[in-house]
Amino acid sequence: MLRFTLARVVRIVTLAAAVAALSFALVAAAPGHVDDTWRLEPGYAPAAAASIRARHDLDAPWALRLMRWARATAGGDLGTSVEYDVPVAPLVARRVGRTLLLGAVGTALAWLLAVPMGILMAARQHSIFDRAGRAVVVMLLAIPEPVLALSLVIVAVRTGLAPAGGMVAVRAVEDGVSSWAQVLDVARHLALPAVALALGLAPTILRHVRSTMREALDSPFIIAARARGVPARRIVFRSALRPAAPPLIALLGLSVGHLLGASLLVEVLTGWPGLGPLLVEATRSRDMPVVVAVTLAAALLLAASNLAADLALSWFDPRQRDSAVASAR
Amino acid sequence: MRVRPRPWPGAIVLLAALHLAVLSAEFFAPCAPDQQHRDAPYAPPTRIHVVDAAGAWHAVPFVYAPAGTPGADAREDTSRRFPLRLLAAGPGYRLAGLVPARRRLVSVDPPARLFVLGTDRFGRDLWSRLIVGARYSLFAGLLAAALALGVGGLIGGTAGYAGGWADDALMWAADLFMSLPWVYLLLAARSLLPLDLSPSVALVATAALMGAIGWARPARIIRSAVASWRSSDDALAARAIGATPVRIVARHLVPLAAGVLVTQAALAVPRFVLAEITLSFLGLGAPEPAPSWGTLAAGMIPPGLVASHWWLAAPLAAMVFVFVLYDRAALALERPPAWHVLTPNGR
Repeated sequence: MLRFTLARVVRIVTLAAAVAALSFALVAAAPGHVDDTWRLEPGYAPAAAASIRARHDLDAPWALRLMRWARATAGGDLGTSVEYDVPVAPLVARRVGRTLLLGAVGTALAWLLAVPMGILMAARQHSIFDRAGRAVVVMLLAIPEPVLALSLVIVAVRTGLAPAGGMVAVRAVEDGVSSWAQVLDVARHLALPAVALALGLAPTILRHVRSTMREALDSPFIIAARARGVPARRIVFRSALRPAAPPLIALLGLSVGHLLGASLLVEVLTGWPGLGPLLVEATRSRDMPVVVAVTLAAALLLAASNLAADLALSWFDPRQRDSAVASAR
Repeated sequence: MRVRPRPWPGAIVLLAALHLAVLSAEFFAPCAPDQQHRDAPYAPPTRIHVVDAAGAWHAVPFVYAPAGTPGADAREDTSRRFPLRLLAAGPGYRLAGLVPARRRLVSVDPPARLFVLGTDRFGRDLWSRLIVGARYSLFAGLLAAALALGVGGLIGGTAGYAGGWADDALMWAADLFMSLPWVYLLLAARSLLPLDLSPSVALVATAALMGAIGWARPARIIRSAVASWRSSDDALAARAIGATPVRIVARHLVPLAAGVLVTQAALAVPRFVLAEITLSFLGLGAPEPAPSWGTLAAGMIPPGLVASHWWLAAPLAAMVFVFVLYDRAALALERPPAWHVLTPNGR
């Protein structure tokens, strides 16, 4: 187990280093630093230009810059944002927290929706419920999340069911509002992006739950249990659910990559101030330190979640330690 | 035991017809996509009548010209009818970008206008923009998929055929690309390019970016197909009769890869179309005034607009339709995986 864990951690560290180098290469190769447009400003003093270039380390040869940048990044210093003129690390860290909040709530919603429905659909195969559920799943699977999110936003605006933008209402950050009301306010704003994310994620999970449950329910030991007169509810929730669980744990870890990609657009569309809008704004304003930091943060999130899934899986099912996990990528 | 609809081959035919149609999109569009009607921003869809104001029926559907200032209040000047005209000559365009042509499928005589889906904030006909934009978005996706599959097939084939350290290095790189959240990577790579590109350059650049990022998955799948073929009896037999490497590639590996690539293409194209829509939506793909489904979707922001101008949501409906169609076509193209593609977890 220790060896397995170590191997996975080493893998993630090399991966992060490679991503970091790759993103730095992108930045170094990008034509036109933001300084190139500022230079056109009439009131832009040469001394200021020199200090800005020095601050963003633009004049050294690229090899030297890479070394300095790698050393700073390893020490947690991600540079200074060109656009906001603040250190990048706290800027990105705050956004990561919000993306994680949205991702966690969206994932929880999706699983709470999909697992009971999947189990029920598997247990009552070919019933009206199963068939209707399958039709909905097939439809939702084909529709991309951005389209789903945009439709939801329109519905929210029209019906006024949930606030359709931002994370807090202006009222709620004013003085004299209790912290409980602030939490409630954030929760209200979270509803729309979380539902959009969950509806994009749920059909995949539902499909997997249903098929693994079906497989378990069709296996000989269930027939044996049924023959011995074990109650149906006990068969479904005890005997069948347990062998069906490991693939679902793997799916939970692997769905994070999908979630990250989907949440980028959902965040932009619903105005949730997470990593997505930050990256889009940084790309538009050519704020390279931020672009690199966000890409790195996203890659690390993904790698960490994969690691967590691997570890959970190998703890749950020791047979997985050697073969399947290594090739589950 | 999977939750799947029955494959429906008609989806492929329908999708092919759609691509052919958008290739000559201008024929179906009453206006040029960037033609502005400055007096008619946010005009609602033109109402097409068969019964005139006096209550008489007409065999040829007709429209009325707007009375006074056109726009949100849809009063019509009922004094004169403007019948829809089939194949009438209009402003010139190039069919499929090549053949000069003037005829358009349906049009009306000025001063009446035919806004099938209304107009956007600049008074441009949304229907014309939707179908001309479909050409941009759908073909950017196709081009990107072709690039990704070409590069991926080549790299995967090389890795699987060569084996050894080349295999390890290439697959390590593929793993690297696959373990990145690819929308983030796409945006990061997009910041390499200048913000303002001409439409055709933007199309090629977008497709190239997406292809450069999307090669890893097909490469992995092709590699495992080729690698397991290499250890099969078939490969042994080929070598035993003294087949040259050229023959092995041409007679064994290419046919083997072709089937895998078709399935992969069916899955990749919608992903890339969506990626193009995403980039354009964020203002990083097709530049205005060139229409793409992404820039049309951006026209729906802020969402409150759609609540009062419902026709602006037409691009959403079109996207749902096309993506469902893609999904069905992918199912119909998918064949049961051949024995050599199956890995223990059926990747």
